[in-house]
Amino acid sequence: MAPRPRQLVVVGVSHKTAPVEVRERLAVGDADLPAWLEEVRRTRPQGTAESAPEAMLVSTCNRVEVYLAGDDPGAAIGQARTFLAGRAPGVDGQLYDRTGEAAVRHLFRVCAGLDSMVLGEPQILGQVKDAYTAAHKAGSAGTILNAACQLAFAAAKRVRSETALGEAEVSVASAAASLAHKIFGTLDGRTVLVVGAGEIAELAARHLAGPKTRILVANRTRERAEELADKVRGEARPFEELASLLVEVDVVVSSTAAPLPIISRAIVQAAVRARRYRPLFLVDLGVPRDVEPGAAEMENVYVYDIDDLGQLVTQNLAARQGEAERAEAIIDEETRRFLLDRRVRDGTPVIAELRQWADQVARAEAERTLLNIGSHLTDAQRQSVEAMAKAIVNRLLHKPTAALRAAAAAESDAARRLSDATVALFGLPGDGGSGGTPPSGEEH
Amino acid sequence: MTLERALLSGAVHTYGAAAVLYLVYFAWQRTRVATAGALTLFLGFALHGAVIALRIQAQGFSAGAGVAEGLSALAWLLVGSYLVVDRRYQLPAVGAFVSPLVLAVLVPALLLPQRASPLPETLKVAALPIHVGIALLGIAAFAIATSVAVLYVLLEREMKFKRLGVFFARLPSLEKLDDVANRLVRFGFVALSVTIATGALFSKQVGGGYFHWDAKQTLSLVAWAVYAGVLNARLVAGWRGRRVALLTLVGFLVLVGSLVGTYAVPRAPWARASPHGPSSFGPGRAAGGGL
Repeated sequence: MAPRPRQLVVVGVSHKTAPVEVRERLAVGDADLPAWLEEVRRTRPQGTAESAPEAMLVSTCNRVEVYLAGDDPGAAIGQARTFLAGRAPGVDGQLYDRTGEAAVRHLFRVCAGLDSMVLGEPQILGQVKDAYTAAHKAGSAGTILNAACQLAFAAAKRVRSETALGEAEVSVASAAASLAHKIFGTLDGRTVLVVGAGEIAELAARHLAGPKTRILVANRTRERAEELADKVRGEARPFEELASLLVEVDVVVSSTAAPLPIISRAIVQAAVRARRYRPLFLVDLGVPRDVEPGAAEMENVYVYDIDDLGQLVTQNLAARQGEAERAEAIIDEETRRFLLDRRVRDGTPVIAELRQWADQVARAEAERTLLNIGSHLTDAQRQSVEAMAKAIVNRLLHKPTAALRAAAAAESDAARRLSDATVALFGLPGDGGSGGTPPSGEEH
Repeated sequence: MTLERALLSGAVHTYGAAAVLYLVYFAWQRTRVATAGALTLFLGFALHGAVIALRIQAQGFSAGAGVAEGLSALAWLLVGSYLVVDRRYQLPAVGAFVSPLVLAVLVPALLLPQRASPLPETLKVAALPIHVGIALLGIAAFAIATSVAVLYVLLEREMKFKRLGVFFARLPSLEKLDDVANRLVRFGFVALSVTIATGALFSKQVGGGYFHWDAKQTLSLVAWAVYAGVLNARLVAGWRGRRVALLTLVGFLVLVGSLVGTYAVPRAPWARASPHGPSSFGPGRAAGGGL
């Protein structure tokens, strides 16, 4: 059995398969990403010794996904499942997995925002880029992940520029804004509090704020609060004053990385009375969530977490389905391009071996000839003898090489037969003497 | 009489058309349809106003004394109040609820006998039309306030349960609904207070006592107390939103009970001297004067 070419697999949960309660147990903060990536790599698939050589861990509020590339996709899926189940026992039923072409397509769709709660939203691309950078730094991004990610980013860019998906203002942030308007009417004269300094919180604050909206920023780190306050033209407030700020403000946008809810039911309850039942809108973008679920039971308090907003957004999506179809077509095209590229590259080891062997033959024969002729040749004459040997070899191998490339690009079965034949005809070492398609990877 | 009848028929059909337009607006959310609805409603209001003017010209202000005339005047005031509210706050979605309500009030009036009954001499005072007019205006304001409050509750439900649908797409903000309902309740409350006070004065004048504690008077006082409580809680404790909306609805139901009581509940023997009692007016024609 010839070794198979290295394949991409993905295992994970997303907003489509698991509620936020499950996702928040799996979510990994930015700072912890390298450590958990290391953990993924250390995890052994059951029954086999080898874990996959390439690994990437993507964790956003809407998805946690493990991408692995290895020679045995089944084992890689086992490895990823073991890791995820270890983080959140019982999650197994909510995991999806994809292999090979399907995994590549999945990565492409994710990057283009087609698998996002908010169709075509741009944040996900940055988040996958961060995950890829982390994998790169950790040395766990090999040929497959490198190629797949580069092409995925390019495909996402194409989707952005060639369809209207990226332009549309529909996003979680604007969904939050439309809810706020339905509660308050105008936000002029109202106060918005941003807790945490996440990019989404900033975006939401920008969407929410009208020309006469006051913006307050609270963060555990004073400098970050001031930095964000500068950007959105707001005021920084001490994080410790959160309870009293809840009395003062009308909308809270929270996206902290806190492991426990920072806005508890109790402080909301106290605030409701103190604010004389004025409506309070809590936008919880944190995963794990920042607002304790019980807070929503309070009178005139409206709590929307990231899932709620996403659902709201999907209600507006009918009009964008046409754009989504065009985006899917782009993804199809790019996926095919990737696969074609892989097939050609998977076919090329034979060509390389053939070339190497031929090169050796040419050099050896040229050397022997030159030795026989003796030392009275000029340098130029020696060079032309060597060149002639190379030229003959090149002429002889040109058609076989082209045929091998074409076969590799076209269909894997024919490619394999041809490459096996090449190995047999030319007596190449192959890989263990047979297939001629050793796994391509960074060890080459 | 034929002119009046023709005008009335025209008004009813125009109201019907307005109701259809508003419902179409509610289904499809086309602003133009709502504008057409408002214009149609205004046309109906003008026609209906002409009917009422003719009636007053022919019979003086006693017109409001019959059930039919009372309901007709109430419908007219409902339309007028809604048109004012819509002009000021742009609430076409409320129109989809008020316009059918107008028909529900007016159509029964058409089915009742149109003869006006002569008022007893004791009630022929200049202040009576004011008492009746203010009472009906108050009810109209409360009716619209209640429609708005019910819409508030429905929208709030969608927002709380995160099932955004029909009302999220069509209604203005919760704060606006709360504000409009509050203003209407305050207006209605003043009207109700004046009505009860003038009613008590008439009662004293006609029957000797300020209060007879019949269904109408008692329920009006209960409704007054409910509204007073709501307004006070808003002012003092900041109550607002859903609980206020529900109390507004409760107050209105009591008020409607009082109105029904005016016509339908048999009088207690000791209340016979009441200005609205069947013994003084004959059955079923005590309208309008009650509140």
